[in-house]
Amino acid sequence: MSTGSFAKEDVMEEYLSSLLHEDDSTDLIQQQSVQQLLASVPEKIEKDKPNQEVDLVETLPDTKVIEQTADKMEVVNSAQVAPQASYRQGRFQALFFKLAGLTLAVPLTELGGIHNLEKLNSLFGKPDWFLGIQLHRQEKLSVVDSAKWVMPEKYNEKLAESLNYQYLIMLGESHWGLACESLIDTITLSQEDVKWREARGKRPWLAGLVKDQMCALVDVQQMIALLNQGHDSKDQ
Amino acid sequence: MNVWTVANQKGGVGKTTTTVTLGGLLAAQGKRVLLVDTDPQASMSYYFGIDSEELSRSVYDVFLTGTPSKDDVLDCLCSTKFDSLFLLPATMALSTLDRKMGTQSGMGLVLKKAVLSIADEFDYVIIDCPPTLGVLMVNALAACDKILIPVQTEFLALKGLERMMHTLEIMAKTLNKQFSYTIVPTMYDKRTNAALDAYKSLRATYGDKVWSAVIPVDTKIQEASQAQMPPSSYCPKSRGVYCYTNLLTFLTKKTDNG
Repeated sequence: MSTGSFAKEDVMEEYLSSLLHEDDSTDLIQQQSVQQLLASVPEKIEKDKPNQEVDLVETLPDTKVIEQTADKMEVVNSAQVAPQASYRQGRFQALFFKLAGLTLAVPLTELGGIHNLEKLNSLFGKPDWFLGIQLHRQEKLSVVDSAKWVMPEKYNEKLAESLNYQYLIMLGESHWGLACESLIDTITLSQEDVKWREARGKRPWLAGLVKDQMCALVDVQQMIALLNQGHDSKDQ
Repeated sequence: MNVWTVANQKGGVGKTTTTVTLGGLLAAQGKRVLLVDTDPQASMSYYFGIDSEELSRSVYDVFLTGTPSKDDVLDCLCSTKFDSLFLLPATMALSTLDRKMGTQSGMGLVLKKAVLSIADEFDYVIIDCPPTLGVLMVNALAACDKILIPVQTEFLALKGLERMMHTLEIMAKTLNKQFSYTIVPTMYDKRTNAALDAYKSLRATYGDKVWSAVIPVDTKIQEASQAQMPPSSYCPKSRGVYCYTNLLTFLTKKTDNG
């Protein structure tokens, strides 16, 4: 551009570099738990490996919400349901995460990614469960207030105040992400470890119930479809 | 959304006039426009009859947040007499920012975050810079995708331009990106040889980075600031506004062509 130069070129460069680069040491600390967790996640193809040991995971006690949900679930023969989902064959891995005392799981094959939840940009005219937009590398991620979406009847001011969302669980290839408070672990499940749901009329976003952990396994594609339509978990 | 920054490390070259006139012309075309004043002198607010020192919020509050949300930014906007033209005003307090935050890492990116947060709300954001290199100018340059550099067509202004270009050079290296910029010759007085020589010198040094026309000296434009109106409204038929219209056509065509 020009041939001119500053008398203290290095001082200028240091000054501009400091202003234009964020100190991400804090972020790194915050991301460690995510990175450690993801580092322990094997490649997705391992879901079909036979004779793989089932990992044990300590999960928190079930909540009333999950118990009520479980009570309403129809237990069906696994051969009857969702033949199209890849996790409906053999062993598969699922990520367990937690929000408002509720544990949810998503099959890793349906997991679009995990991000640290950052400051959100709100949008006008969106449903009340829509927390806002998070920008990630020029991509706009739509953040769902998971507690409000999953259990709107339990959502009150006290619950809202107690929530401390930390992570964003991205659903499949979509722009939708579920806000969650903590990541628990990934575990390998067999088909028998899940009470699969057949009747999708009431809660099509529930693929089934993970028996040992007594938590809901999310049908990611159904949930994306509901979110795209602006529905919450009770709107169907 | 297009984000343009109007910058030069020399004062009095027509930065604020360029910002306000282009903003007024874009708004007249129905574009949703936000003008951002980052100059502590807050002279842009004056064009719109706003006393920035009486405002409860300004761009200073946006900087204080560090990571502004959309609401943080929208809360600080002032409306103008023109439906689609908004102002993010400056205050004198901005002059304390370098001392307060000039050493904090990442502080050069606050305005970029602010602008990104309102990307859905505006077609154009035009940022007016102070004439000194500091945290405010760095923010304005980091936030934009195009830089306009008004340069008065006289010898001393050309020397100032060299410093500006070198600042851009270092920033481009730091940010690892190439700036798109256009040098706009301003206050061209065709009656003087000095103006003609300066213009020739600009073209010889910076080639096609210099806009091929000029903004002439125009007393009507000077009167517009006194009348507290954008020149595009105060004197739409003036020669100065006519030339700014041509400049806008050039810039938007360039934008459309990538």
